[in-house]
Amino acid sequence: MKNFDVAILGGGPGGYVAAVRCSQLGQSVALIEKEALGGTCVNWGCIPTKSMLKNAEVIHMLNCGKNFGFSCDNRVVDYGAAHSRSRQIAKRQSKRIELLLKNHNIQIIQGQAHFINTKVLQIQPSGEQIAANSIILATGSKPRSIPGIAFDGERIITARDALQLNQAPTSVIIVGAGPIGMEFASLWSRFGSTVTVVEMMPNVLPMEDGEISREAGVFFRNADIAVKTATSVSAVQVKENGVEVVVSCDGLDEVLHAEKILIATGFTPNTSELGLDVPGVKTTRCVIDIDDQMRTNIPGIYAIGDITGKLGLAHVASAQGLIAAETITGHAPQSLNYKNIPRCTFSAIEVASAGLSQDEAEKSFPSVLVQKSPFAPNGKALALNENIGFVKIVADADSRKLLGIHMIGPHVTELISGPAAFLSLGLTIDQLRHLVYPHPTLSEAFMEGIHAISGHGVHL
Amino acid sequence: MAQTKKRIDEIDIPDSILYYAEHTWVARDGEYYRIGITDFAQDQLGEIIFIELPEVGAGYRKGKTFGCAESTKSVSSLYMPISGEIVQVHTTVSDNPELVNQDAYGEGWMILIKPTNPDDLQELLSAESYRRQLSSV
Repeated sequence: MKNFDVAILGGGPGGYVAAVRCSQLGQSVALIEKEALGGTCVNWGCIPTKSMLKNAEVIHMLNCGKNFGFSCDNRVVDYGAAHSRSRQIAKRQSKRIELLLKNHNIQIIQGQAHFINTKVLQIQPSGEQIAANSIILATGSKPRSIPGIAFDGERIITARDALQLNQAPTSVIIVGAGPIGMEFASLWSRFGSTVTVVEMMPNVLPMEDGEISREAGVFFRNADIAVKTATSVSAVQVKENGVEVVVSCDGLDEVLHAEKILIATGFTPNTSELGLDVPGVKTTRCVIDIDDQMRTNIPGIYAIGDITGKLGLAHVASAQGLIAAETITGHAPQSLNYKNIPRCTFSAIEVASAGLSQDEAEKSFPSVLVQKSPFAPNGKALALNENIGFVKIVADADSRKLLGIHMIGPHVTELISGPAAFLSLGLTIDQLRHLVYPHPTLSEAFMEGIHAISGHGVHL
Repeated sequence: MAQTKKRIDEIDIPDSILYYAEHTWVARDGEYYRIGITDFAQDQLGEIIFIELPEVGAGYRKGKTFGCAESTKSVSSLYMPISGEIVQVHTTVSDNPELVNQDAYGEGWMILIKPTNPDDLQELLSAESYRRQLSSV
């Protein structure tokens, strides 16, 4: 039986990053992956969706041709080509990860592992057993269905099914107005589909700051995406040419029809097939309990990524992977403040945020400063013809520290990193107000907000 | 572990074909010319992740970029050794870029072109000249 210092279950953004870091720290590593390297992120999530959204953005730009002085007749829009491009990029990134692992002498084992005992894993379908001093669980998560409504891969689909379509649906109902739902809504509506989003909460992007959610809701309604908030799905029936969906709002039922229904309401962790009861790894509602150093209750067993239920984002999994690797090798890595990690939505209007919302801040701090800085007067935003949205800064009036950054508008998914870093570093608005930002850039909207919240806004 | 690069005398440079200074090879195939990258180029790149190739019908002048090859650490342009119009693209190589590493002069071929400027052929290097060029770097 082969023996390794570390065995990692799952080759997604958590697993492969942990593997590379373990190898850098002198560990012998085996990584077990049942499908393609890169996990959901590279193959069925982040990467292919961003690729397809770029194609959709190009269509949108062509639709706005008049603003830029051009028109094009006989335009051909090829969803199949967009899909092919996304698959090619996914494959390319997966290959990159394979080579990265090989270059770090990491043994890649194809298969699915479960525990034989605390130190030994059995891998299916080969039946091979391997032993490891430390085991990192990084098996990710799968889409959660609505109770009583099973996915069929054809009419009732997941995001993964959606990324396998080589034709845009003529009409689609999307359940869940979170980032994934709104990204698919943006993608398909730009490719000409009739899109209806159904969301149980009162707003789209309900986990964002309230003002951001409301601004997003207005934008999507103006973009011809039908949005039904405070609405839940009661029943879904598959018909010959599509689905019939009964939704309910304020006790009133409505029947909707579409070619397909995408369920994007959340994920459940992939923990049920690991044999966790064998070593006795503790879980709470299918999520593996961990401490700040990614340790489970069983010495030598660690967990990272979606299965920890902390914040189901790829960069969180990677950050956790680094911590697990450093903990295993006797370092004392800094723990994560999950609230301050930026989260992004790459929909037709981008959203990005980190830290506390205004409501959360006002509940926790006696006095809070809030400043909105719109993109409307921003020169670069005007030049791009994208002068919509705003940056919102939330700070503690007493300590003057940043508490939250919320952005909606052009390229905010790129803009968030700087301010999120200031937040993580515990900087105050007084420290930030001396910064000089390049002109003309969208990032100046943050700087204007800092100046205004400090009491000396120039343009606001 | 990253692979050690070949010594110049270990680089395969077949005598039967011609070479361009930017590490592409040219082999006549009837009225057309087949093009790929040399053993030196594939060795320098390391394991290739992705090859981007042009469309059939596109035309490129000598020295212009017709595609790119991506390895773990870099993306390298692929240069036209002679001016020509693309008549066939070896799409297999796009999906299986390891073919370029394994068989640069055989199954790793990339494009088949119709030459558009016969004078360009005169400026190609023989195997010996190409090896001298590599040795002088």
